[in-house]
Amino acid sequence: MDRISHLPEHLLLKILSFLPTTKDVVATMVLSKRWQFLWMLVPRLVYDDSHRNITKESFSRFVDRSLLLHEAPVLDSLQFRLGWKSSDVDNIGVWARTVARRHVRELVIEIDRSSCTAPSIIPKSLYTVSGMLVTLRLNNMVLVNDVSSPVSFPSLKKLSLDNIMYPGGDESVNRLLSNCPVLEDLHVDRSIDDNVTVFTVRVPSLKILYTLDIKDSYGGEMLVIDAPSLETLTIDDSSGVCVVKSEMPNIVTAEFDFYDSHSWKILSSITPVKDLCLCLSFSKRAYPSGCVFHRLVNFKLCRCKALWLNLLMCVLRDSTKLRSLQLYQKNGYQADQPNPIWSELSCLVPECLLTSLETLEWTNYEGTKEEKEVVEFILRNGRCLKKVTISSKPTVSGKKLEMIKELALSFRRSPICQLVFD
Amino acid sequence: MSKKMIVLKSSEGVSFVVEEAVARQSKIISFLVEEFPDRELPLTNMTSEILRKTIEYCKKHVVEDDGGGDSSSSSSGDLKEWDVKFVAEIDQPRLMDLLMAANYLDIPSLLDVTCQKVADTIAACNDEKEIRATFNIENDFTEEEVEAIRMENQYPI
Repeated sequence: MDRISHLPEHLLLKILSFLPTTKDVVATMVLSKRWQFLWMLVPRLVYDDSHRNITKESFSRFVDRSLLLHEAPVLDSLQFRLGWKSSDVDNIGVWARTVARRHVRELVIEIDRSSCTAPSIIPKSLYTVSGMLVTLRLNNMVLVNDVSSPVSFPSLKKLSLDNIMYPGGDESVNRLLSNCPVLEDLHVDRSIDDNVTVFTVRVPSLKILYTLDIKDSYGGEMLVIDAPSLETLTIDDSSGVCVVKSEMPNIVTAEFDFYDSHSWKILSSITPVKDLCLCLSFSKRAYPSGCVFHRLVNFKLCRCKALWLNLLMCVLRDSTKLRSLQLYQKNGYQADQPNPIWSELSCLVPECLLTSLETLEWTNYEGTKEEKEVVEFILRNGRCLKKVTISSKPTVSGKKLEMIKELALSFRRSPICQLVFD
Repeated sequence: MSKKMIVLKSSEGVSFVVEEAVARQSKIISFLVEEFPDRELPLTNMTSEILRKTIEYCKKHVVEDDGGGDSSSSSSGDLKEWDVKFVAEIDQPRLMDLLMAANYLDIPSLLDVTCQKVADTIAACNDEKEIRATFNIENDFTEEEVEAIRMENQYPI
């Protein structure tokens, strides 16, 4: 029995909107008369020119025709994933005009740069026709700073700029962001030659910021954040200087992986944080003394950067409410610690060990002397510990039994503490 | 404090006793529970088999408030994996029943999961002939009509 064709129209449209691309959706028009016009009402259009047997011309004709025939009054999402076949065409500008006509909520343009020669310029029409646009994701394109044409994204809440070139320099970034008055979520993945020196994020409404910035600071590269409403901040793999211009009283989650020691000042702007993840090379000079993470509950620390143990003890000392501690390795290795160090660090037991710490999770445990010392120290002093999970590196399976024995026999201050080996 | 239970009755008249928090994932049941507390809720167009499946899904997805904020019983990654397995084990007629049940009871996440599974099944087909065969769709077009529709839409072959 043909059950599917008898489903109500809104369910069929929902099913069709889950198909990978619009080509798959339109293909269903020849199934039967019931299906012939359904595709025209699917509120999501995804054009991908990477199909094997499709030529540039036939792809363009297909996009033109289907945009023309499509009838859904509001388009939730319009996506273009273009490779060498189509990324150089002027069509993107014409297609982008659909954004205004059809009240598009989400627009995604992803260009496969590896396969195209000429850069794709973000169509000018997009800046002014995007009144209803809530989400905009651009990838591998050029943002031309044309001061004569206005920029306006009055409804934009989510913006993702991945590998974007800014020939107009710092000013084009400022101009773009200052015309997004309700922006809440910004994702920036910068490329090395994007022509921006100081990337300024001055967005009062911003709640989530993610930046991946592989540039170094030799050319005065900087990331400036002025976003007092921020709740989630991630600075990943950044070599430049990061500066925060305003306090962030609402910050809940922060994750940092940067090289520049001046950027450590950020830590004193995010003291209300609840979840913190750090992958930093410790420097005593850089660590902001006197700042207390009075709300920190979950702390994750990467062991791949130098003096991670010192950083761990500093944060433990400054976090009186910490409940969960996770020690992991982002890059799969552990930095060597200069000895002796542990005897100095462990003379004072951090308060959170006595009053709040409940769980410790240690991944890639190798059983080195200092690893063992840290775990034993936490077991010995953790009065509230409930669970300690140790997962060992797969390569050291032969030594595993030995390590388990050592730790299992060590003293546990908390009588209810469970020790788990993964 | 003991958890509040409610009774759901399938089309065959079989009663299922379910925690209220579990059943409340259905917006319809949530509404009915408030309007008619302490009453058995008859679901006359749902078989026991489908109702049991629906409850199994809701039990897995129930969000428990443990006092320290909302926390689901499983992590979101585990849940996704569980969902995939859950729909993979269901044959097509029952998948359609479950999809209709999710629609009728208004359980948005279950509706998404079942619709996604149907979409994946369509996407896995090589051409329209295979889709028709998979879902028993009768072709009421002539060859010429199909050709004309493709031309009109500039469908790239």
